[in-house]
Amino acid sequence: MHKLLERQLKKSGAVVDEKFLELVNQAYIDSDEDRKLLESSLEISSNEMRELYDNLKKTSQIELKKSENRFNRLVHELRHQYFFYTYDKNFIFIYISDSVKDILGYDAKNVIGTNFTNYYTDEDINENSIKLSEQIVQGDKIEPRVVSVYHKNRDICYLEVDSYPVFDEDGQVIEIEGIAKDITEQYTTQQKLAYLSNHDALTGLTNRYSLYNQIEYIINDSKRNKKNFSLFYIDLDNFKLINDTFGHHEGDKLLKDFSNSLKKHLRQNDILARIGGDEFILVYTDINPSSNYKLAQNLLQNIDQEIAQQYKQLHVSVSIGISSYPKDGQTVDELLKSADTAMYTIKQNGKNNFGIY
Amino acid sequence: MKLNYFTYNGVWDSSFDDSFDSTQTLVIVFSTYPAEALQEPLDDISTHFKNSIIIGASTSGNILLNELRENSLVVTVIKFASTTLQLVSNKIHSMQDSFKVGQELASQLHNKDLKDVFVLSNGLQTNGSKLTDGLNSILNKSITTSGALAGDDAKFESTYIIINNQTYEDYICAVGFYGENIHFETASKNGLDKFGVQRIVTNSKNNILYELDKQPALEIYKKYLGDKAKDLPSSGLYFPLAIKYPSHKEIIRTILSVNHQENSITFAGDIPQGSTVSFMKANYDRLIDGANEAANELDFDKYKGEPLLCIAVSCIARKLVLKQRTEEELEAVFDVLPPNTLQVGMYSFGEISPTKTQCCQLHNQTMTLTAIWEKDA
Repeated sequence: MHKLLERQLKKSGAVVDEKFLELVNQAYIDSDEDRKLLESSLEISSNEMRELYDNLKKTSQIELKKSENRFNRLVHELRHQYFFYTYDKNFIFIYISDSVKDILGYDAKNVIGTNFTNYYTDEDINENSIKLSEQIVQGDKIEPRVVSVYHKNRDICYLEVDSYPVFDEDGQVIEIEGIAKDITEQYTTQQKLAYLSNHDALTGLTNRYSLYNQIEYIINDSKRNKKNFSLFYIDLDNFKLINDTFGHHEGDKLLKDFSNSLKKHLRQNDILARIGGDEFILVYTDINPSSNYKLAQNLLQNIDQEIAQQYKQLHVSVSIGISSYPKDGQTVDELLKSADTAMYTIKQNGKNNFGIY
Repeated sequence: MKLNYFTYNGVWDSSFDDSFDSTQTLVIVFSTYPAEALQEPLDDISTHFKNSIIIGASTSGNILLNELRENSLVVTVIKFASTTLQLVSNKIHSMQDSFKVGQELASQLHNKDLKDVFVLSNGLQTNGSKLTDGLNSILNKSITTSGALAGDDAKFESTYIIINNQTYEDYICAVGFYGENIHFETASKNGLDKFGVQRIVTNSKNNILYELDKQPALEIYKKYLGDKAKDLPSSGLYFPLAIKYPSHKEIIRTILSVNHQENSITFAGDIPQGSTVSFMKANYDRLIDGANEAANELDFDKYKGEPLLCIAVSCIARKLVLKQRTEEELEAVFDVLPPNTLQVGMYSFGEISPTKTQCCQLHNQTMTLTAIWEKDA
């Protein structure tokens, strides 16, 4: 009989039916067995949980160490081209890899705690970068972008940066991680190539290729806004003779001075291009054709006073042909052809003058 | 529909009412007797119900009203007014046949008038989830199918089903209910809690489990059962498995047998490799509450006070846990059923009832209820 039941019977002195006693006794035994089974299974389960937790902790620490080592090796291998960083939601660096020293000359420990915009130059590209950085802080993923920053020696460096937000369990941004690649050489080469493809190497003026694009834009704009513009085709008279007589060096000098002189006649949206050896195009935007006469006179007068005086022995003069949009042409080619025709007539009639198509 | 019941414990408790015998009468026998002791009472039944369909099963305890009846036969007689019946049965040669037999039985029963199906299967040779898969392959969701896998207390040695006046160890039978007026309502609840670590099934084949987390599953069971491991497979019922297979609903499976040579455990239904399992444990209150919830879930909106039969099929594991308190779960059901309901049933090795998407599924560890009534024609 179950000991508890035995004690209870003894204490109470009760006389109980045998069948009833058997049922109660069995219930006591069942209850004990159930409790033992439950306690033992919970203990086993608890030990398993603890073992699992210890293994998990151990494994995660090993994995974390491995991961850290891999990251450090990566940072070291890439130190000449890349640095890694983390900044908070106020753009303050909370981590930056030592390789920032190789790329920008700063000690990492001095960068931590500073705002990344402190390093930005005033170039336009950075304005966009700051806007994008604000979007990242809001949790958006942004494509890599180029920023320009000062090297410690005040040289300008270009970095391609790729930043991405780090979220907490509730989906809130807690910090921003990123990688920066030094692309200064590549970026400046690209900028130079872009400049050269649109400009004349000798004078720095717009070249023929770029001029076409710009005039097409002006045609569209003028068409939309019902505006006129004038195209002045300017040719230096007898330039071949000057070149042959005084040499290319003197010829090039004349071309540079001549283009600088023409620049003085430009308003903000006007265009000056060199499209051939001694051929220049001056586009006066948003102007009434009735002003062409006065403008041409001023030009001739100015050239006469400045360049002709400066190069007296070369007897410098120019011939100018003028066409107006829309009356003399609807396309770039038509306008150039009209101005060229007007200029050719002047050449035929003694040069040093202007003609309106 | 008219209902009657008799009990037998060496003698019949009352005389048979022969007026119940008809081709539209179903006699269900729940038996805790060994097959060899059953011939005489079965002959008595078949003598009085010559034209009726007689089916039954060995059980791990019979249910009558709100009582557990051990060492007895509980015989329920249901005479339908307009509903017609068809009995089909097939031999199952091995567990691998479970799907095929389910499919064949469903094919034999299926026609446009089929409304509901009640299935009784042997409890040890059938993969219950494959059997219900086979039934589902033919029967759509609109045909309510419920039933049970036979039991043998918790001995796990031998089960049988009854077809007319014979017992069969290796058969599955099903009765189809046809007509507009028959109505089946079902509900199924467990009341178990998961505990401990989740484990992955790393080696299994159909309903045979070999390894959890690459460790022999039987060894894990033995560790948890301690001294009770000597009572396997019945003691394994203390810790059924909650199984979650990706994109499937969580199901519960209980042990049918163990193989110490292979270190394997056979369950009543499939344990898919790759699924996640947890041990479950029961406590009295949650089990009794679960049974009560099942009864409350039965939908009686369309019930108009006709004679009502409730077939309660509860898992042997619940009885093993509840012990002397087993009848509390029967009371928990019986008390919320409409007045004058005849509640009969059995403790089984597996319960069968519909899910939200299928006409039936194998359940373990549940109290599964099937309320049956026939609307007046």
